Amino acid sequence: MSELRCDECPALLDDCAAGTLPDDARRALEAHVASCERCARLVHDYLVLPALVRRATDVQMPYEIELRLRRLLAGTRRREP
Amino acid sequence: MTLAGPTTESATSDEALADDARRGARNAFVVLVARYRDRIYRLAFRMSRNASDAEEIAQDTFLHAHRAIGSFHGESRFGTWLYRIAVNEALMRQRSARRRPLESIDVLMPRFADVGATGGDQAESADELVDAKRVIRRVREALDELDADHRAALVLRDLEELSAEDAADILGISAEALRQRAHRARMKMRVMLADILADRA
Repeated sequence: MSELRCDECPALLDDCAAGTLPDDARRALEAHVASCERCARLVHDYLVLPALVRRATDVQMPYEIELRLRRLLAGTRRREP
Repeated sequence: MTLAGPTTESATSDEALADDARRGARNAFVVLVARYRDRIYRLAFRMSRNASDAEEIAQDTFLHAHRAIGSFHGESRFGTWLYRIAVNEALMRQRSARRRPLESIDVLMPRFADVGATGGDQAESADELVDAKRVIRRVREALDELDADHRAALVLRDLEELSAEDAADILGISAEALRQRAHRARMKMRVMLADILADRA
């Protein structure tokens, strides 16, 4: 992959965050951000943001809700196909 | 995360359990509830940003799935099918009801403090705890500012870690449209949380 321009970086970020970026594109992105502070910040934020939001919304179903659900399911009939 | 295959309890696949449930084995559906209860509740919480709504969405999702299990024939993975029901329940609720105010963040604090606000270290001081609460509130307020479609794309792609194809399938849009929505959502979040992200640079 040839040298990246700044305006080409955003299109690679979704796969970069998901770890599905092809090797040549990943190397091109790494080479670009090594010399471009603005895109380096963009990549950093793109990678940090999901973890930040995930942690701030990491909840588990309260036990009393699970109990209520089990009671409701025990009294529910399912539709025939 | 993927929506394929069993994650807890036994090696029986979701689809085999769904098949048993369709044939009337009530316990099979109970096992599926145990596998997915936290994932569906967390998805509902992230979509609604409110514990009361999340409880109702999660409950209605499982009741709906239980009633409709006869129509599940394995065309998609069970997890995808269940997520689609949950997302539809959440979107319907958001489009038909007034938004509830964000509630206390204390419900989240123990788990958030466990992993620390900056990624791994336990919150050790009152200052760190205050900072963790501030970050949680800011993140949740930013999430609340997104419209329902962009939030759904962000939640499924980044928080639930589904593939673009699975997330797009659940929302009934193309994978490219899903990527664009998720990208716009991330860029909006990035602007709203610029100071917090800068602290972590």
